[in-house]
Amino acid sequence: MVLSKLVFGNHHFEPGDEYIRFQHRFACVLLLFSTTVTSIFVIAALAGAADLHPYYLWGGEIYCVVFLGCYVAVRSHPAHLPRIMVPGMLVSFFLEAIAFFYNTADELRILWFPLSIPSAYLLIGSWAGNLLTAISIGFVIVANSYLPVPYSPTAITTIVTATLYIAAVFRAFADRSVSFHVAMVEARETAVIAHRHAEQALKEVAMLLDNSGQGFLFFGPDLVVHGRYSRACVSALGREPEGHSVDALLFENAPDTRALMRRSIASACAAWEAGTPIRAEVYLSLLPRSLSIGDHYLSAQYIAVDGGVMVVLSDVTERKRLNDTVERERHRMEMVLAAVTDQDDFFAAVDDFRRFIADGAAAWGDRAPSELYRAIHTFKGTFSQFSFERLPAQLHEVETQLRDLAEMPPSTQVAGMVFSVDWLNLMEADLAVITQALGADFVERRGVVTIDPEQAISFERFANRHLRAGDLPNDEQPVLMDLSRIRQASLRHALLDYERMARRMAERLGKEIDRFEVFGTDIRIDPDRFGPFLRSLGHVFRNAVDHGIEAADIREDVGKPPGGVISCCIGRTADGIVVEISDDGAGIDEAGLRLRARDMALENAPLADLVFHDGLSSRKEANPWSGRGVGMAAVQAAIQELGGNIIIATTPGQGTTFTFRLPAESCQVAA
Amino acid sequence: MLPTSVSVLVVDDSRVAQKRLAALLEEFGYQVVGLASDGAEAVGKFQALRPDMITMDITMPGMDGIVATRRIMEACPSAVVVMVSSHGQEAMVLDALDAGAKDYIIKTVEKETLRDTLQKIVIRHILKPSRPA
Repeated sequence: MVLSKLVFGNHHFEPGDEYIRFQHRFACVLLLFSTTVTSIFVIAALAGAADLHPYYLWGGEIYCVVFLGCYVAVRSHPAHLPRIMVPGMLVSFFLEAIAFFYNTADELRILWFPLSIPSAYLLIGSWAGNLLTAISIGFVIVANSYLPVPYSPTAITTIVTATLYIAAVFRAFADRSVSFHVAMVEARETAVIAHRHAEQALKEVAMLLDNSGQGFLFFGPDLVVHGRYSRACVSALGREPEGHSVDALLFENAPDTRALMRRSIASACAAWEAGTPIRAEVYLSLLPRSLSIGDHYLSAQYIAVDGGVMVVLSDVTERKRLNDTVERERHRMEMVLAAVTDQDDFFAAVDDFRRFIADGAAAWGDRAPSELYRAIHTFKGTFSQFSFERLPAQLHEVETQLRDLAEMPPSTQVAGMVFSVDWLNLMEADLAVITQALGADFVERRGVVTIDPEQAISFERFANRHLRAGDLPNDEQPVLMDLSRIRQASLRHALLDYERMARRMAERLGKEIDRFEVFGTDIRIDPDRFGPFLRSLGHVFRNAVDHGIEAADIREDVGKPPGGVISCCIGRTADGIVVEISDDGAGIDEAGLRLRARDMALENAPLADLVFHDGLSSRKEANPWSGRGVGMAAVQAAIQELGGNIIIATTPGQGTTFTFRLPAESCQVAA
Repeated sequence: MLPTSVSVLVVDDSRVAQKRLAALLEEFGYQVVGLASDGAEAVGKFQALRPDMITMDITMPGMDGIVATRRIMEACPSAVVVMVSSHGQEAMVLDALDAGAKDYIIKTVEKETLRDTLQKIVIRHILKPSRPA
């Protein structure tokens, strides 16, 4: 390294200048070597150890000085090499000419002429080589005749031929070298430009992908992620993915999914290779499209491409959190709404479940697991309809376990499994939503917000006094009006409140309700007096859904629209109010009812008496919601209490209408 | 494009699931030409009916859907067997695909999605049978 610097100087050659570098080094070595060898001869001659002709000695001295000068110049200015070498060429021809005349004949002095031609071609250029060749040949031919012992014409012919041959070879060689060098430099430049373009293009693509907000990565059939991926991958995956196995990156703690991934990727890659991209797509579609890493939720897309699979990752954490919050909030609202609007059913379900928990495993020791399974299933349905958050999921889990045990004989073990769950705690946790929304005592009070009757009466008196006196500001008037009627309820709303119940029940029975309507002008009623009657109407609606309205397919068979209609009509008459509740269902099997009533000697009674008679039902089987006759008897009792009456009109296949007539007392038309 | 006159053999060990899928297929316009309740019956009915498509349940008593698919593919490599799966059965679907099933549908998806998936399968495998897959 040090020697190289010493001999060639400290130069930097650009890539592509390899040929110039070669010329430089070649010239340095040539000049140094020639100078050294000639110097040895000169010194030897001066010391008397060699016998040289004085002219030849002088020539040698001049030669050494010029060559040394050329070397120094070339070493420091490689760019000027061809020009620097011209004097070198001339001085060496000069020394050859002297040697030709003053050396002894057997030294083959003539050989020097062709031997210096190659370096002229290689270091200076073709013109110098051509010139040196011409001069050398001319000189040998002319000078030969002046020699004391000339070469024979044959020898001269040989040396001229040899000179021409060497000149031709090196001329061709030098020309080729230069043109190869030029071609190489050009190719190199083209490559550099292409490389720059490619780098720019790559940078632009990377910029687009990096700023797309999505993670793009690529891996081959070995599942190892390649080095090019978009920046979003790092934040989504929590680390640089390069060199990692993609199944470990995406599903680190799910060995089954990882195994699935390895298999489907292998199959997809094979399918792609086999020219069946559709099949590759089918294999890839088996992979999970949503996943979570750390606290990030990602959606993933897998696309088969040449040589592997690319994955597109989107971070959906924000969206998912928002959705979850909205979903949870919606669920809570639904539950609160259910608790407020369906208080009776809601709290009945809660009470049923409390009883179920209190009875515990002991109550099921001698009953078939299938019964317990059905009970759990019913609870699950009920609580999910009321949008409980935790209870339905847990019930579902237990139900799934029970399904496989349903055929087993009764055992306390199965029941023990069911009651090992802390049901009470789960339910309390769910009910906490309601306590939060509606206050701590809502659940305890079964949803009713109560003020005591004396308070209500004193509110009314207060309001009426100020309404009469007109001594409060006008904007207080609506409040006063409301207060004056605090104990009165809207009949219209009382009827509309049954819509949810009717629809829910229809859903359970697999039927459809198209419309639930209330017509007529609203009437304010005293809930104390009308309460039992309004509550008993639940039985009428239940009957309308259960026995009246038919299942959708049956309705379509008889040419009705699939969804049934329940309509209520409120009206006033001279002596009171009328409430009609109709359905467009199958009607009551009046003939069948009369047939069964014969035993009780009731066959000629009005239809209403039969329908409302305890223990009579037009259908043989009963279900939990209706059909036991007992409910309808309660309706009749309530209406009689109010001094009213009921008329039932039914047309088979067309529907049934219940008409309730009530005396006018304590009814008042709503303002 | 309606999948008119695409004949389908529905294979499922549950009568309810059979009926449900058959009803949906008919609603979509397919011709359900046969029902089978296990793998062996499926292979037999396939031989007899040569339907355009077979919807194959995976888990069935006796010969399961994967073995039945393999049998059908041995007899007729161009048969279009579509697995009927649920979430969590991906590994079994992979087995079935390896056995030669063309694609799969998921039981619990919405009706529209099912219709689209089936239509995609018909376009890919029945209307363009020249395309290998």
